[in-house]
Amino acid sequence: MKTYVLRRTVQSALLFVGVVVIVFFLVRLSGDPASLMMPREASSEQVQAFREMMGFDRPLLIQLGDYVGSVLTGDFGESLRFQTDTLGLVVQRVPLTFTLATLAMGAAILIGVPLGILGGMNAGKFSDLMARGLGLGGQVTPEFWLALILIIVFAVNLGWFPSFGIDGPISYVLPAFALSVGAMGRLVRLTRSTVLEVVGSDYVRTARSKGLSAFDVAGRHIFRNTAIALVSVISVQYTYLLGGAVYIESIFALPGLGSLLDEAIRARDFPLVQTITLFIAAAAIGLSLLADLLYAWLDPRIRLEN
Amino acid sequence: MTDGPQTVEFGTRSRGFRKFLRLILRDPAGLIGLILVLSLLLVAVFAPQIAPHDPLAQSLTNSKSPPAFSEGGTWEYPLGTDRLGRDVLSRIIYGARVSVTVGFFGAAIAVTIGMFVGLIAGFVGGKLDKALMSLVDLVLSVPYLIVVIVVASVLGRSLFNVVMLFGVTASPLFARTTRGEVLRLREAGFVSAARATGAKLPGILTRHIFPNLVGPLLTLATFEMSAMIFYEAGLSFLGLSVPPNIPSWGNMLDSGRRSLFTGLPWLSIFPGLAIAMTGLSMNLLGDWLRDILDPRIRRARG
Repeated sequence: MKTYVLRRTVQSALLFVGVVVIVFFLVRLSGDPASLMMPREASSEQVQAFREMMGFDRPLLIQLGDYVGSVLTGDFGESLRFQTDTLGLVVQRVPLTFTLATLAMGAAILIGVPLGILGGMNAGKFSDLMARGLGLGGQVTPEFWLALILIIVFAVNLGWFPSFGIDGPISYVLPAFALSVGAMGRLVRLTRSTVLEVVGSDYVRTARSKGLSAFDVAGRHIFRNTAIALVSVISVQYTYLLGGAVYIESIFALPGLGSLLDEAIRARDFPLVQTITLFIAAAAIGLSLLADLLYAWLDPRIRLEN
Repeated sequence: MTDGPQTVEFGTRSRGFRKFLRLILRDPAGLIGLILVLSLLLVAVFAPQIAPHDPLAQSLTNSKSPPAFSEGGTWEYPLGTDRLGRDVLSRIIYGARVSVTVGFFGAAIAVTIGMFVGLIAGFVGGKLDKALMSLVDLVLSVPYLIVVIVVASVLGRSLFNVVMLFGVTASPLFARTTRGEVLRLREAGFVSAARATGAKLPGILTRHIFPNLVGPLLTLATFEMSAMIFYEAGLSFLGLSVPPNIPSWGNMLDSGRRSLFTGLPWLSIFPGLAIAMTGLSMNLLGDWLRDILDPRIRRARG
């Protein structure tokens, strides 16, 4: 177990360094980062001055080494628009996005997992058909569309919820629900197929044949093994929600990481875009590491391997 | 059935077609998916013939007209008009062109790159395989939507850029699948047998590897097409895909968002329905394809 933890942690750290390199190249895809970041009406002298100021005129490898080096020592660069440290701007916005994504994930788990279990335990019956239908429906509903529909129905017409901004916990209801549908749909489908797989496995057949009640088989074997398999699924879905937050936060005007990314792109503030991207990628890598460790700890087949 | 993986055998053309008919008629969900996907293709190709109006034609006297089935609507504009008096139905019909182009060409590029990389990794093996697969893992570790948004914002708004963007960013998925299949097939009995009889690599590739790649890659491509259409709409919605003068479902939703509080809900409702229906049809078709084409699942069920 110890060597596994160490190996996975080192792997994640290397992955992060790789992501820093990718993010470095992303803003250079157009070939000329200076004119990308300057306003369209800037004169060529201004662009040239900016290029020299940012060091974009230096050899690419030196720029790359410089960027990776400064990120790894905690210097994420200055925002062009706000003229302050980008990391500070990002950190300020984290709590809201974290709250929103966690609420959405909670809703997705509370609705999706029971539906998936219901479908998997009754494969082929009406309840299964319903679960599959809802799962597919959630998966194909664009969250940015659902957000608009929710605003039209529940904010504009019924007036039950605010349509934008943060004004107490009630402000989270519509955004969190809109954000959760995709993850909910995928959770239904994945839970269902996991349950189907577990139900057909040898240990469940053994448990049944030694006379355990249906209740015990479900509780001790089916649910427990399904829960283990869901750990990694949930971490992947959480990462997906961090992406969906870009739409949801800008539609509902919530000051989180997603709307910051939207604003930064509109203002061509690419140093800030880079830091937000790095931050979300780091969160994704961290989540997948956490899920793997949790998985190893929960599943004796991995825990006892070494 | 024998040990090795098999593909659906198409035999002579008429027998293959009959087999296909039998398989699709047995699965109503797959049939619905297929019909919807084909209709979408037809709508996209024949948009100029189908659309009742010019999608760009403005008419200030007919602006903000509600859908035909609600109060004050007319069948002249079945799904209503926007603030500039442009026909919503015609714009949705033309918007299908952007979605289909992005989905189809994006998937085609992703399959081509991914298959090439996956074949090299699977056949050459060793350090090259390790390096290629680390790169694949690296790209896949960054949240997809964020990558797509950032790249689109750097490249600028054009259909070509969006197609390339999806083609390249989705290719690692296809590379990983191809490599996995190649590794499995390399050890399969029929490939060793072909080798033992002195078959050369090109022959093994065309006779044994490619036919077995069709199933998994086609299935993945169907799901990815649906994902690309979904993400393209999202990019359009954020103003990062095709230019605003081209009707696309995401661009339409973006203008729907701007009229949220002015009582024009149909501007938001219908383009979103088009996106959801497209996703639904491709997912149904993909599920069906996976059931009949993926040899492992078929064997497990059989």
